[in-house]
Amino acid sequence: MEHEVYKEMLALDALGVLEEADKNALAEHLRTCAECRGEAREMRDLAGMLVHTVAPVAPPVALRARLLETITSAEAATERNQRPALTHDSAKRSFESAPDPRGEPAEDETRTGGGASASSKVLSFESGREGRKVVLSRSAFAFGAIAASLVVVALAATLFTLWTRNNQLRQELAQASARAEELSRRTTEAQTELVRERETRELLTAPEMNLTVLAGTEAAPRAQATIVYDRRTGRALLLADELPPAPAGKAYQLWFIEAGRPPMPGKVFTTDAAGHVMMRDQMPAEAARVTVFAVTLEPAQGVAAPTGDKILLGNDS
Amino acid sequence: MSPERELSDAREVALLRAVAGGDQKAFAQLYDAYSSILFGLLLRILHSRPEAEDVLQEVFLQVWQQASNYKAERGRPFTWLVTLARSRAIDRLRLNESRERTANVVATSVDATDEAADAVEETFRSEQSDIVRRALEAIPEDQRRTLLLAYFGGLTQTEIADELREPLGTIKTRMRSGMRKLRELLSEKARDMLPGM
Repeated sequence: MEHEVYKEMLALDALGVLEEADKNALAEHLRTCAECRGEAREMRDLAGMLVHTVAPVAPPVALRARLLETITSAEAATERNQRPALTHDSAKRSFESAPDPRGEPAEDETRTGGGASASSKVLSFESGREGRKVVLSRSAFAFGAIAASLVVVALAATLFTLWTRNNQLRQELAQASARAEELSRRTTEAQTELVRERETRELLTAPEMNLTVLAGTEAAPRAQATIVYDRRTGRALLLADELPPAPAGKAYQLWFIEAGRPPMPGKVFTTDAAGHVMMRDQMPAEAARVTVFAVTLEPAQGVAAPTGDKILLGNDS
Repeated sequence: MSPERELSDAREVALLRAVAGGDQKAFAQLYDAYSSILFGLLLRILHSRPEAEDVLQEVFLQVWQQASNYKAERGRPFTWLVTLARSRAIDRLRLNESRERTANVVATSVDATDEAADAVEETFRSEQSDIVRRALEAIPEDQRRTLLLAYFGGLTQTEIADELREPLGTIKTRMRSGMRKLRELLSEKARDMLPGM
């Protein structure tokens, strides 16, 4: 499709009214067209402003409390899993309180200096004991220096241990976050699958459920499919087997056909390795009198009118 | 709960970043700022208070879990929140309701557009909503009705054409013209309202 055609779709996309095939084709175009991406953003913001025509209504206070409680519980659970991180904080706090002992040697040094000065005075006035005193002072000085060195070494070792532990915890935290993200993704997938299963069950048990068998054409004689649909809600489910793999850049597309009218496009799909597919679709609103269903091979982004070979065909009359 | 108030884009982005980082206070602020307008939107689409409450909770839980998914290049943070809420409401509508019920929603949505045309003086309106509503009133009525039906009805363009018994081409043209006119009318105001545009 031409750039201008996609550009014309942007306002409709922002309003959320595009059909699935057009929506997919536009999404593909937006990946490569910066101009349309810019305008799409503007249109989305514009459509979002329509919400200002709605009267704000305060939700129940209990709902806010429930939400905050939910996220707090989730956070508490996360924190329990990150207990080492708390230990790290405690360790960090311990480390931050370390300047006191570290300050000690400096003060000692000052005092030691004073002590040496005092010793000099002793040397002046108590020559008989001066030698011992000097020796004692030198020993005390040496001892202080060794002690200070040991404190520095101990602190350096502690610092190194904490730094290593900090790095380990950071890695563990990153892994835990990745696991939480993966869990959240799986939960969303499971919820989506549940909704789909519920839709399928509703469709299969709908009082006005219809079923049409689609047979493979000459292009794919072994292929076969069944479409189950409910004219009342427009929901449809296509189950197909032994479809040949779609060539690169191509995909299958479902069509709803009513006598005397152009075919109405359904969803685009591909199959698994065995040529099997189960696809849900929403029949177009004007498809109430559709009697023929077809599947054709089309460009991967789908088309508004069929262009490719018919692969499957079925008639419900 | 604090009264409804609207935040600047920069503030919204900062709040979303904080929420993505697990800041519960930021989350509460975001909820206080936007829960009422989103709840109003959900009620308008779903016409059911329990359903709207349920979806509002889902929307904010999604915001809490996926705030890091917000991408500025796709729109304002406010647009992201509104889009999340609208999409979930429409999914719920399609999941739970029969076609007859949908038709009722359509009828109600069309009625609501008439109400919208007369209710400018309502005291709950913020400055932004007054500006948007005035701009909508300046748009030809058929375009305005189609725009609001499209946005709040949860129907595709062919469903709208079917419901209004108009050719699809006419409906598309109306929506496009309506959006163009709305953009034109809001362009100057939008520059004031949307910092950075």
